[in-house]
Amino acid sequence: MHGTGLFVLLRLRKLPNFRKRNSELKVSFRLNAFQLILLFAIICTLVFLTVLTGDISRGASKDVNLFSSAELASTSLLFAQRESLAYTTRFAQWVGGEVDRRDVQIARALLAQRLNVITSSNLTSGALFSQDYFKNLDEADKILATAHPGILPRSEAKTIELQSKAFIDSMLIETRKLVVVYQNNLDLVLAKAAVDRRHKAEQSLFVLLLFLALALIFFASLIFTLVKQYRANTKANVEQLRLITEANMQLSQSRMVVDQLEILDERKNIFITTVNHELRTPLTSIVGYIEILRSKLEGMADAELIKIIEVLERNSNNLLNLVQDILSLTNLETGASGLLKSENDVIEIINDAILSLTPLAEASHISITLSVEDGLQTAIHANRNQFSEIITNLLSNAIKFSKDGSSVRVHIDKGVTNKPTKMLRISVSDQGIGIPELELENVFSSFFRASNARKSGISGTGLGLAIVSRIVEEHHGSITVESTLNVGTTFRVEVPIYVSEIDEYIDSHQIDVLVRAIVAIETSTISDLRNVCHEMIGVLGFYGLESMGSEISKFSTWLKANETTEEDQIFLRRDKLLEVLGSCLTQLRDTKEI
Amino acid sequence: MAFIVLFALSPITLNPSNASGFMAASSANPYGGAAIDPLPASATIFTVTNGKKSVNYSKNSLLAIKSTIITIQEPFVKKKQSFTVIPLDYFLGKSAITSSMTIDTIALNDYIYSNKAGNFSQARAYIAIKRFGKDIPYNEGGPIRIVFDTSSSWFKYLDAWNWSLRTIKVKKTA
Repeated sequence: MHGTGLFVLLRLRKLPNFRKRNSELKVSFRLNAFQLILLFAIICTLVFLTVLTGDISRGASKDVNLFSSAELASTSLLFAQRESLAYTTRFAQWVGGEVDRRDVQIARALLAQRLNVITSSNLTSGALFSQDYFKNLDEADKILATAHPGILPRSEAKTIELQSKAFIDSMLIETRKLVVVYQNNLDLVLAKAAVDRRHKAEQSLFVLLLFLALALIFFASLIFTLVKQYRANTKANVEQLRLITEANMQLSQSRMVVDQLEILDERKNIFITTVNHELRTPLTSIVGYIEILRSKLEGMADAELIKIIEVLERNSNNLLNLVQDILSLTNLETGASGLLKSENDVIEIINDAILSLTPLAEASHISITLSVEDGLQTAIHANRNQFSEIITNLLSNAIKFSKDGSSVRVHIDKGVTNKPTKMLRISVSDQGIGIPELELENVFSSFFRASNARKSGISGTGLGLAIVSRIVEEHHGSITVESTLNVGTTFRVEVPIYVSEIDEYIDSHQIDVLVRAIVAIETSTISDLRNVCHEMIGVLGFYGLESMGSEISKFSTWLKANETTEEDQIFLRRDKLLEVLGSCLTQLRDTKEI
Repeated sequence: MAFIVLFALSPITLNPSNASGFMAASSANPYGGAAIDPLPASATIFTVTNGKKSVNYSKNSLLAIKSTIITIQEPFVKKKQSFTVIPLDYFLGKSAITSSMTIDTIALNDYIYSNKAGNFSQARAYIAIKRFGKDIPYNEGGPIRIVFDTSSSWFKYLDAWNWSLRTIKVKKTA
């Protein structure tokens, strides 16, 4: 079977490496150089567009500021015009005798204040007025300075009216002129701002169009690449499908080969069994006749003849052992061994094996000792013949590979394997040549022989440990080996201990019974307590919980002696008992879980 | 900027220095207008009116009120100037003008700026009665004017800087 599996594996290794191909077919997307340049250009355009838009936005704010500034200047100008007109009016009213000179002086002072205001152009408002305007002001100031304070007397009014007529007209003309100039200037500024805005809007539109064009080219390029990749992937998928179909065909063929090999394997086993039977019968007969021949020749002095017969006997026995080993192994592999298990005492089996091997051990002055852990249950659930074969094989190996005068030790103790079933462990230790560390993993393979055993010329078929391993498996056990070169080897076999059906039943119900006892004692009235205790003592004893029965019995005895005591005392005593039972229950649960 | 340049190149441009020939030598204002016929110190120069009740203030009475000095960058002539000031709240309180009332601030040339009294208080408005310790000339915003401290929220809001102030009057509600 192993050979068949290897053959199939070798065939499968020739199949295409799909994992590798799948990774090659993984869909990946990468931008090419052209697309990267395009993307860079798009990002640049976008940044430029953002800057431009920001600039336009800032420009709009600036225009507003400009307008505000113009307004500030214009406001100042308009205020100056207002003050100028107010002064001219007051002057005319003064000449007409309606107001006194002080009113005109105040109007003149306020006009001066307004002309002195610094506008947004960092010039005074007065800087916007002409030389003629200031000449007129100068003339008016002179008239005002030399005039009579208070209301202008009638005698002076006529003269001053004539002097100031030209001044008043001129002031009005100059003031009107400023309005026109201001409007023209403002128009020019606004027109320029509008041109600037249009220019920036055109720039922005151009950049936007450029951005759109680049984006369009980029996406077209992406679509082209994706289509190209899609086509390549489709082609690859078709190729992959073809390879899968091919692989499936190869797999079908391999399955057929496996089926054929299984048939051949079965035929081989039948053949080996048949041949073994056919060989063993005459070999047994030959060995028997050789023994008869040797017994008849005993006492005769022909030493050469006796030597020949001894060689014949040894070789015949070796051949018979080989045939028997092959037959055992074949039976184990095919399941034809028909394993019937029963309760067997492992000490008996080991002692029998030791007894049968004692001559062999004595020949090499090797001692065999057996030790058993105290209080250990040594009954196991096993097939006696086969388990005996395990022990015989392990012991004969130990003797065979031990040095003269050394000892072989067999020890039985509790199994350490973490299994729900309780296990028994048999350790067989020798002080032999050991097994090289690198070869330890192969010791249970068929026909395997350690290199140092082969070199030392110790005979063997390499089937013994393989047979042992199979039998241990059949017994739901395990076998391990530990060896140090030239120091010795220890084989440890773990097998389940024997559990009878009743024991199994009791074991599985112990927890339930203890729980029932605890609940019954806890819930019964004081008057029923003694009866309940009596019942429970018997039940617990039957289920192997005698120690707990004994605890209850002690309580029952105390109860009888203290019938008249107070209830509290009884409950206190009962609670102590329940505590002991509870503790036992916990331990039991822990044990069962393990 | 273009606007400024256009104004600068305007044919009617005139620098104050060009007009110095007709300026009064005694005036700090290069555009003249310094000579004013004097008034007696007891004459009313500022009136605060709330309904039918008016409080009149002469130069003397204003000088009698507790004042402080603040130094600010005067925004119209753009020069640092120190003013002797009385908080506007003082006058509003004297005339029982509450913060919810809208007041008109009226200048000698009849310029009016209106807002709620509370807003003036919040902006910490002052009445300036002297500049550099001297009377404020009429041609430089005198004799009294409204000013604001540099830290005021209205410092750059020039509409409220009413100069040559003559009256504060509670506006009649409709």
